[in-house]
Amino acid sequence: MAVLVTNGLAHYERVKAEPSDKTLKHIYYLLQSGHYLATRMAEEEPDLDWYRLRAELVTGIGPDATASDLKDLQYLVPEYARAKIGAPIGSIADRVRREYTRIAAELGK
Amino acid sequence: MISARQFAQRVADRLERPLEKVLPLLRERRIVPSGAPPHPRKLLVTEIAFSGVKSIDGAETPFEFRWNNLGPGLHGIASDANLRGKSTILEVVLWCLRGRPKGLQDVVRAWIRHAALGFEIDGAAHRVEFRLDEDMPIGVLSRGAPGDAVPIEIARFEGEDEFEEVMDDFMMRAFELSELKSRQRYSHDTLAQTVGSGWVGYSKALHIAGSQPILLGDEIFGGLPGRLLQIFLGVPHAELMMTARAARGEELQAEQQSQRRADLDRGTDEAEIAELQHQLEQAMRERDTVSTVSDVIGEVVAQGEIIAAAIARRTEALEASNELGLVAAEAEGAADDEAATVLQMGHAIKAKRYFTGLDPVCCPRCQRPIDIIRRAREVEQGACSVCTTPREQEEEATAVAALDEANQRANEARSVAEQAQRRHDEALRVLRMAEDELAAERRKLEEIERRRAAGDPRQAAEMAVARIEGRIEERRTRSGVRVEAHHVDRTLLDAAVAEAEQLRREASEELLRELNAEIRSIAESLGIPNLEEVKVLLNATMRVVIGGQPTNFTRLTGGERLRLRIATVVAMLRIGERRRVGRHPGLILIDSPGDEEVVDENLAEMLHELDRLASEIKHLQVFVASARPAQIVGVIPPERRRVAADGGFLW
Repeated sequence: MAVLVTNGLAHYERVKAEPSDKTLKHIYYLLQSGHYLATRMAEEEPDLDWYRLRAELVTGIGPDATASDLKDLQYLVPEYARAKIGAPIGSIADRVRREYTRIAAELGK
Repeated sequence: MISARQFAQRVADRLERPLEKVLPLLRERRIVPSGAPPHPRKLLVTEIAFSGVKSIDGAETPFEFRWNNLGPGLHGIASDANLRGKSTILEVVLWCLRGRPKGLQDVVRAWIRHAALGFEIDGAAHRVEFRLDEDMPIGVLSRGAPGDAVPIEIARFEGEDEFEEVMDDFMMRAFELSELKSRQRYSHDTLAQTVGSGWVGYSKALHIAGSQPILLGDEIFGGLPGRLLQIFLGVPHAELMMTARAARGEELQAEQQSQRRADLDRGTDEAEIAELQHQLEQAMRERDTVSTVSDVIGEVVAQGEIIAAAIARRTEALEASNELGLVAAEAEGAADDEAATVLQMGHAIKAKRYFTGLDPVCCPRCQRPIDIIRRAREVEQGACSVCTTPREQEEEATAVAALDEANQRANEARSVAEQAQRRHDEALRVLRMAEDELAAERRKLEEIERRRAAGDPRQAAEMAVARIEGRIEERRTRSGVRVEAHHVDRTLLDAAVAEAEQLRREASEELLRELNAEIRSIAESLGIPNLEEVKVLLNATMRVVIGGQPTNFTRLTGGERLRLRIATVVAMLRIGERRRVGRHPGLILIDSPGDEEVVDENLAEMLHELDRLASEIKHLQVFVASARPAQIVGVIPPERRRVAADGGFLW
């Protein structure tokens, strides 16, 4: 964030509680220059478009969800909760697909 | 006389068996002496009466024949033409005595409406009387009461069968006769049967009609003439002998039948034995290949060792596989890390290209704008406009070189990981093989265990062999056993027959000598000259010597046979009279003796002799029917004759 902020690509605000001065949340803004740069990078280096795709998937989970909400959801997945720093986290795709089929079938009823 | 026990003892001695094993068997089959010989009884016809309507050429003429107050002695019936009713009179007598006519012509029978016969048995008056209702005899047999009292009814009858039954029952009792048992076979392919012949059989010996080549009666079946001879002559043990023979005949036949069945069975048995032999060979082969219990235990132990080795191999493979699995996983992780590093470095280099060219605009912490002085200082002195630290010019080429190095490391790590994975795969393949092998060896052990649990396989195989051998043995012996079972009984019956025969032979020798002498002398007086020797056997066959020529009764002329038949009956009666034995009723009916080449002169001579014999033997009553009235008239006084002269009818 420091790189983005210092280079004028993003801006953030801290929302504070009155009168305790405790930070309740941060609000991040992607600035025009940031959006421009990101778009250029993704166009010029397809490798880096991976990050944009991740971000897109995350917003698909909950368009209005806050980062804290998303983080809490992430910790409900045992593979992630138990993961150690530096160790690869196994895929949960199969489990997600099974769950999806089950729920779809249930809704189909 | 001999008692049942004494007879059984003789049979038992013959067989060398205990009496108590023989006597019940003989009693069961009634092969026992019949006790004291019955008292001879005499039959005397006292009245012959019949009536009806003759129908000749459409003309119906009522008729009645009545002949009363008859007594012993010779009686004559004569007409000078045939078909004048002579034979009918004798036939009616037989009909009344037997309940069934013997040779009565149907046309004559149809004329008769009523018939009666008065007779005495040892002086007791009896009467049988019947009428014919649509050819069916309906009547009564009664015994006369003394004086003028009402006769006592013995039995009523309706129909020919009942009539015959009534007379049979009465006569058999009256003369104390027992059934004439004989074995008869009616055709070649049927089985013989024991046939009982009652009064009808006996009565045949009363009637002498024609010149059959049979000494007594008119049937040769079942040795009937011999039996009649023995009974009428009073041969001791004749009935015992007959019963024993009939029993043996039945047994023999049963044995033959069972032998025949056994032969059939044996055929089946032989086919089965061949099949069983085949099975036996197979069972023996199986037995020889089958192992014993100790063999099985050995197998279990050996298999256990094989399994232990297989388990060791499996364990080793499992450990190797686990270890190589870990190695492969570590190598994989390392390769992944290297790959991630390469990725990160690549991304960092790329990102840096975009960020290095940018000018900082604010403090990343407080976001205050960077002042112009700091910007100038960074350009002039190379100090960072954010933190004032002197900036080292990091060359992208160095970063790219580091990336190449990392990339190489990542490739090596990947290759190591792949190699470890291959080794792990190989270890897994070896492990699977070891597991399959172990499972197969365990199955083998289970199979051995099952065989052990099923019992001694050798013993079972031995049992199978023994079972088949037993079945073969059973089939080989059983036909023999079947026949033997009968053999035991027949041995007894053979002995009983032999014993009865011996008793009868011993007792009859003297009797037969006497009979032969009597027959010879009577036959000679009846008109057979030069009769030098007569020899009657117990089977009623007769051998004679005439004029030095030995011959057989059946080869003689009709006249000679007729005389010998009459002589035989008279001789029996004479002996019976003398010895107080014998059971001939003393009634003889002789039909048409003149037909048998007997010339008039000889017939008169024969009648004279018969008359003499009849008067000599107190209880003899003879009726002679002849077509030669002159001879009858010449010999027999009027009260004892009925003659129709000049072509007239007797009734």
